[in-house]
Amino acid sequence: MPELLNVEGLRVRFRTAGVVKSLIQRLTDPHIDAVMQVSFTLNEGETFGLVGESGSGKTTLGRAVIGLVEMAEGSITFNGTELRGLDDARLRVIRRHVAMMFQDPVASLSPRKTVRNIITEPFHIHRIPGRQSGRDARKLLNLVGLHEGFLGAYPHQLSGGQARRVGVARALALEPRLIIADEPTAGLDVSVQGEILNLMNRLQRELGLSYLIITHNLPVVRHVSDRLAIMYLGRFVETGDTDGIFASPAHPYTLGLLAAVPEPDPDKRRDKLELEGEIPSLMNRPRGCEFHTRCPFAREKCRSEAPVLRTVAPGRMASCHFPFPNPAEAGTSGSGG
Amino acid sequence: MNNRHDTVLEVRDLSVDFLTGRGTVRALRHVDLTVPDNRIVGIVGESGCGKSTLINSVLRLLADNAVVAKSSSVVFKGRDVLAMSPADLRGIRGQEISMVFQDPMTALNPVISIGTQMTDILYRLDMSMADKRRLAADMLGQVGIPDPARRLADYPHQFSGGMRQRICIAMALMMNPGLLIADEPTTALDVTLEAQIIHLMKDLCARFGCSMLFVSHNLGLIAELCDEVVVMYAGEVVEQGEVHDLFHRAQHPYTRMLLDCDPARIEEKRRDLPTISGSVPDLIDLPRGCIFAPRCPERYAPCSDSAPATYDVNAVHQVRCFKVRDA
Repeated sequence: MPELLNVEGLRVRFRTAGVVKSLIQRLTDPHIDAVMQVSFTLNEGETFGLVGESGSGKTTLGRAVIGLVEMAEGSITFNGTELRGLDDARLRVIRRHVAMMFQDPVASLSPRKTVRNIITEPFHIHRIPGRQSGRDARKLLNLVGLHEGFLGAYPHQLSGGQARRVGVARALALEPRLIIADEPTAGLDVSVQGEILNLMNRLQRELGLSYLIITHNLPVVRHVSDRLAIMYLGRFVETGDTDGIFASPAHPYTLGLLAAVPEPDPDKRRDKLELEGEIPSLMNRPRGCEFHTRCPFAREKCRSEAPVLRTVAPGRMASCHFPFPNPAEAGTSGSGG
Repeated sequence: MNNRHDTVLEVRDLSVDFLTGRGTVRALRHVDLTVPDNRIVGIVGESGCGKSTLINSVLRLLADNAVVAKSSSVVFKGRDVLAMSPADLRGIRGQEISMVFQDPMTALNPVISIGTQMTDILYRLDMSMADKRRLAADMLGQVGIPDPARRLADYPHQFSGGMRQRICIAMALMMNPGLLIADEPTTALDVTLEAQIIHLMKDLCARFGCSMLFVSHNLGLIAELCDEVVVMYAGEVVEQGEVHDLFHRAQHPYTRMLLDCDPARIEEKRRDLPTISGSVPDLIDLPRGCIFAPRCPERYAPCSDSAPATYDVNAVHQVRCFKVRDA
């Protein structure tokens, strides 16, 4: 599969205080790093999942890819074109090929526009003449399985699932090659969740789309993504093939995340928790391995020395001094401790 | 069940209508529900199934356009909540029945310190302010807030989302209630925090001898936490039973389809996920027969003629489906 998107050493910084406040509070560096040293490749027709808890930087990373937040370091190449330093006019041309589905199906639609105006707005923004017609709007609605009677409806008249479909239709308007979907199933009922994921899957097959799916929902991402990256405090802590990661996580954080998902079976209740505590503040990153404050397997080395993301098995990378062995090579005894 | 001491809450034949401009919305119909002493009962269902109307009826927090049917009864520890005077109701709300809401960001007052919000709940107690603050600090400690005495002076924005939900749980349990109602208490939280909060609630209910009514759409959480489960669909209880019985021997087609849809229950990785085709019926214009018949793959002759009653699968498992009657 040809490469569509390549991200190398991406860093995104946010300023947390202005000049005056930094002087008063004697801040030496009034910045936080929301995304750090992130590299990955997305191939055509592929689905890449970004998983992490709130504050892990997954949404910021998604927004950086489409140029909604500025990058501090690194490079993003889309279809062979480097996005860094591109002027607005040329960035706009690239953005036609990258669409975004935002979080919250209803709130991401303008409440005072009809469905017709919402899904044809991309044509106005990109000044594509002759495409605002009702015919294009109807075609888009058809594609996402909505009746054309919805053209005159306002967002508040739609159910969550219908609103999400309108969001998909809007994303498809400019015939993009990549869709960045931020929590595509959040806030939807389980039975509707499946409908949206099946729709996205069908569109991928029919239109050859690539997806970058940003989510905290592990059961969903397991079914829809080919490859996966687990984020913690703005960094990738583990990347690899989805099935492999679910079968045998290498990083203790991945293991903890997987174990935190309750199984819908009363016979499989957990008596102990894998992960205690909460994510540390980005303003105050832990020394050494940034996960050591919550890691049940942390040793002396973890408290002093930061691990780097390295290959731990074919196609699998993890940033851990003591990754769990791959069951294909060793036993399932686990590591650490 | 006839022994009053074994039951904290008993809801019988509860029907609630809402009068709207479009017509009468029949939000709840003939709901029966029992919460036994020291048990955790889960209510599971999708949007619009009536979960919120049910818990709001128990606390009598329904909107003004709600009409509760004459035949309905909600009995809490032997007292009929529906017949209570406003003064008696105030004695129950927040003291004997308390609630943890979905969003800890909006449940707390942003401009009042945590300590003041907590001691406010104790206004009825004949106790010095210093003792009230000690009690509040003790509760914060019990829900796992570090350095509780000092943090009483802090405001909600100074706590993380998980910590705020812990504070809400502490506040709900301060008056030692007989029943705690939790309405999707972990939806706003990350999975690792969700697991922590669920375990905390379970431990505290056992420690305080409090029953819980736990409302969720997350089947995993229901399986993890509850002793008994009530499945609701479009304003009716379609199935209820002991948790193992319900998850392993679900009888109602809706329950089975709901379980099948949960991606966490699908062992094999698959791109094509199961769904429930069709949509929830309009509660203003209900279908004549079984409420689920229009979407049910197993419907047969009797389903579209009349509504099924509740039939026993066994002593701890009831289903509203003709197939169980005819089995």
